[in-house]
Amino acid sequence: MTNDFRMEQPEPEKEQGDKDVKSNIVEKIQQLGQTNVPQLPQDSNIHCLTIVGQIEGHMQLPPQNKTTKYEHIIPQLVAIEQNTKIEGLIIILNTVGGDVEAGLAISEMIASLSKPTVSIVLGGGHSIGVPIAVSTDYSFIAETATMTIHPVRLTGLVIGVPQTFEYLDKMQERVIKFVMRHSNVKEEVFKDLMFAKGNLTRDIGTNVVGEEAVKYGLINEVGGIGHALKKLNQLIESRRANKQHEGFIQ
Amino acid sequence: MILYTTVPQELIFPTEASAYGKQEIITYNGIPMMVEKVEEGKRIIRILSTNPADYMEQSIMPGQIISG
Repeated sequence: MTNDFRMEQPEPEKEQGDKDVKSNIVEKIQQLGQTNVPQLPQDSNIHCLTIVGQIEGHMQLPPQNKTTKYEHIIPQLVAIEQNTKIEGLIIILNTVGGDVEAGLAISEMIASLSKPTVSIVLGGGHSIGVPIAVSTDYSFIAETATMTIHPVRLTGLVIGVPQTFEYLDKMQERVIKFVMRHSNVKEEVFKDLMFAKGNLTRDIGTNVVGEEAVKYGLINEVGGIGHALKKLNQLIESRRANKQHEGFIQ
Repeated sequence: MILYTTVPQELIFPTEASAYGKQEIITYNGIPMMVEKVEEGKRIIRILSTNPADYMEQSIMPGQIISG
């Protein structure tokens, strides 16, 4: 005898079903302008962190601004580090920059992850986006993407001028040190780019595009999502191999 | 009117406090997302998850209205 645990299901009325499908499609077109999206298996071993808009720090920006909030990026990074199913992280940047301390916090968190990380700069990775882009194990930049390197600024009210200058200088030093540690760019080169005059209309600094960022040693390679995923999978593979190797020794 | 100033726009034209209250970050079915309160419920603005599969979830596409 065969075991049959199937429930007897009544045949759905065909007309009703058709109607449902139709309204469902209409709904989808209204929402996204498309009807079909590819499906992924539920457990992806690669997670993706997008850093878009402004990096929001202590000040909450008005809701019309698109922001990345560090207070929710950081718990996500903790979760990624903890979850054994996640083997790699890809970071996608398209940011204008923002709060220095929040940006550095995110960069330090990414740099200290034990799992392989790869970043891609698409569009722009300006200002405090630079340390975030270089914080990963390997970084990519799209051919048309740009990165603006400029000194730390302060907007708003400034009261004690000499103290403020000193404070900004220290803050800048932290950014420079971080970028030095995590990329191949030389300190003099980076500072030259940072304080260059005549490149930006209203500011000092330099705007480096795709290939140039690689030439200065800031970013590892020019490429897109395909290159980035390939590299990440390679890093995951070599980490797995290393782990197995260690396992044999013990 | 053109303002030539280094003072940030938010300082000159402060946003109404009520605008901040409209949007909030919630977790729906274990997926973090940014939503906006509307009459019918909450409209999804952005998915904030790092899991790429969450972005493929048909029931929580941005623009959709969820209850609760």
